[in-house]
Amino acid sequence: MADAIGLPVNRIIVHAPPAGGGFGLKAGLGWEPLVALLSKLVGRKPVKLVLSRAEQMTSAPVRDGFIAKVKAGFKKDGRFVAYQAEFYLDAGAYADYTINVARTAGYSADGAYDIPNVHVKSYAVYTNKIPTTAMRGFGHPENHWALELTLDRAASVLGIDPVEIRRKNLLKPGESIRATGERVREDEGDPQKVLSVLAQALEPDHVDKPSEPWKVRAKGIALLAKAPSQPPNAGSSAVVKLNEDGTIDVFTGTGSMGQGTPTSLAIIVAEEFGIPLEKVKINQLEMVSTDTNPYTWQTVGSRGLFSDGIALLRAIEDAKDQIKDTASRVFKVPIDDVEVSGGYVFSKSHPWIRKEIKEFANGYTFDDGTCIGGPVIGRGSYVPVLNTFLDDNGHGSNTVFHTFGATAVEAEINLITGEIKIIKAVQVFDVGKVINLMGLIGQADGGFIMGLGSALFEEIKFDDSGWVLNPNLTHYYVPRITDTNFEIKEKFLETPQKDGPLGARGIGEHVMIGVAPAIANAVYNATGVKINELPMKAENIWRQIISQKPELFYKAFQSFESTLKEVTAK
Amino acid sequence: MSFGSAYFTLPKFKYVKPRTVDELLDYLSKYGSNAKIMSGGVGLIAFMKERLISPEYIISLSSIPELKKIKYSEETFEIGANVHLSELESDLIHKTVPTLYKAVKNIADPTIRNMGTLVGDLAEAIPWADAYPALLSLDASLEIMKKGSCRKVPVNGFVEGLGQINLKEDEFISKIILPIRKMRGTYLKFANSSEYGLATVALTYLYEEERFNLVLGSITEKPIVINNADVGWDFKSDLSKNIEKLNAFIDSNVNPADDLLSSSKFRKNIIKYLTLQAIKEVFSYERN
Repeated sequence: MADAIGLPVNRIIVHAPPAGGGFGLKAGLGWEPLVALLSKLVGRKPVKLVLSRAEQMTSAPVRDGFIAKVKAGFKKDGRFVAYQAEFYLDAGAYADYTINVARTAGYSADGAYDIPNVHVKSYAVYTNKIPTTAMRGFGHPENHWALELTLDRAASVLGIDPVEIRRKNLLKPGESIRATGERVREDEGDPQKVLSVLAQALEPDHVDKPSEPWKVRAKGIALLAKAPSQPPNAGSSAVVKLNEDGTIDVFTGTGSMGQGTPTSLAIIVAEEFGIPLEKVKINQLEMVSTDTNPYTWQTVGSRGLFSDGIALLRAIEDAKDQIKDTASRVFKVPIDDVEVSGGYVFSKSHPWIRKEIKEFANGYTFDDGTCIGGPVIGRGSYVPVLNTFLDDNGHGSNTVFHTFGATAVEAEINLITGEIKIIKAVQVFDVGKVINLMGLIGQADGGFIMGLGSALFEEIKFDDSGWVLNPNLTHYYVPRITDTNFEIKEKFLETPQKDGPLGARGIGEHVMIGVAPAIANAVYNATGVKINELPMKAENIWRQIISQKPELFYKAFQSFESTLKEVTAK
Repeated sequence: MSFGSAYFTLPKFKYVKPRTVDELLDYLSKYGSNAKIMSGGVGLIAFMKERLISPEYIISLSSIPELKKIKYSEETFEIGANVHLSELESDLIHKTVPTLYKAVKNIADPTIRNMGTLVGDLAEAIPWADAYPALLSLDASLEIMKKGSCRKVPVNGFVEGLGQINLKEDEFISKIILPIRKMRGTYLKFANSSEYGLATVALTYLYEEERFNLVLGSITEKPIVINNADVGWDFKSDLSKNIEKLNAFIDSNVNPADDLLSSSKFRKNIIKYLTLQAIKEVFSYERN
């Protein structure tokens, strides 16, 4: 923005109040310079840009359109030998963020699997449609759709159970090499455990009878792995300020948009100082401003808790060091003997020598008025360690952590109408450490529902010239409460990430990635019908049943008619 | 089918609020050609925001007590022009005119039903609206008033096409009249990827009179009314034979539209499925 309008960076102040959902759509620069220029035009008066629903749905950026062509080779025992893929991403009318999405979809096409030979070409294509951009999952819901459907079809051809074929091919921490040439970290999580917890929660030997004889039921699964997609220097920084009454002010750069990162960061501060959460104020819950908040690269990529969290822990340590330095002189003990926890500053060897943290907030003042130390303000920063760009072959070391996860659904398919009804769902994620359980469950449930929208309903319809035909929420259908009348079981594993904040990894996007492929796999397992296209709305499923397995439809209709005759003959 | 407006505001208009039907009729005779009547306003405001219509006057029905009444007698139900849809979600309506009750339950959502009216839903004349098929199956009629006169017309034929109704500029629908007879009925709607049904079925079966009206909605510009005589339904013979006749009738006489919501083929499949579901619901009940 500074480049665009020729001003120094510090003359442009961005205030970001808590927003209702970001999901990446606001990651790139879009309308902002326009508003600044408009303001100049009207004599530097404030200008507010508000889009109507139709304007928003015809001109604001959306998720990329995606076409995948894949070819896979397996050994008879189910071992993955080779995976060749071509991705075409509809970038819309501007080469904006979708270039990055295309790159990420390409280098992460191998998902959670150890595939010896991977060849991927990923193209972002200009069209005359709505510009597209980052959107929750950043290429992963798309490339996992291709990969996870391929696995179930291979399993069926080879006569192997879908769980088993995945178990055979999962990445091995500390051992496997990804397509980028990056070795999987030893502490990256436990993909085998993710899969077995999922398989168990799914109750593999138990499927209830369908509610009507013309419906069928089956289960479907999908695994996933995702790292933040970011440049090697994507840094974070944090400031912790201790106040005279023992309350603490926290500043980082990650914005608040309902994802809960600020709350999790506040919980870390409260834990580390041993004070109640109410005493911690994290300013992003009110406003993030570029002139007062420390730098963070972006609020994207499931990176907030991880990157800001590490910076914040370093800021906490810095603040504690300042307190310890002063306290060692007050307690007359070596600095190594001073500990800050449980709301107190104390000597480890003589724990009865202790004072409340607040007594050190502005330095320590002795009875005679002498003060030592000074106001406590801790700072910390983080930048990925030894990350690189990818080279021309897509090789390099470009990730900081991967979160493994898995999604499973039991679905009922109406063979006459093509309707899919979710009976129950299970999601498993190895999050490293649960910081805020309620927040995490909320994210995971919400992500599932969002994934359900992409899977079953959401579709921007274009006419032949690229104009949007359904710029409204009447014909762009999103899941409503009546579409979500089923149980979602969420399971979280805690295999710690050694450098993660308290061992935690990011989770924001992962919660929606597996939903669509899991549902498509359930349809495939129930009917043998291959679904290639999203959304899986009733008509599309019906069309595929009719063209791939017409006998299923006719039998279903017969059984429907015969139940009708049975009931009416009574 | 775009309902995306670039506007946030309504076009300018004058708002009048008569207190009696006579006053309303005066306004209509004076401003008729430049006026629109507002009961719930659910459709009107959306259309105005889209600039599909920009009336100079809006005449509100909200202050005319007479139009808020539901009158129940031995023979008829009379539903005033300003009765909100949610007021029709009652046990009495459920028992006496079940087809209407089930159709109302399918209109939009509870919040909208608190504002919208049955007359409004009908007068919008949108092919996928839910009230019209149900009213057709119930042999409903309308009371239409203008200054100095009042006419009663059957609901069948009232809607002439998309947004086109048989109502003159100085007229308004004062009430909907439903004959009360011994009946069973149902209303089924198939909606996917939209709030609007891509196919709906209203079925009202008058079991003492041995006749039924089956109305197929949302599949063509105007609902298709099929009665027992049309398909040669024989109440004395086996139901499965009758169902075959009905299926054959639909196969050769019903040609659903192809549009953004659904293809014609899929609609045909769904309309047959819904029809049989409705038959099952309404006729199996009889034997039990």
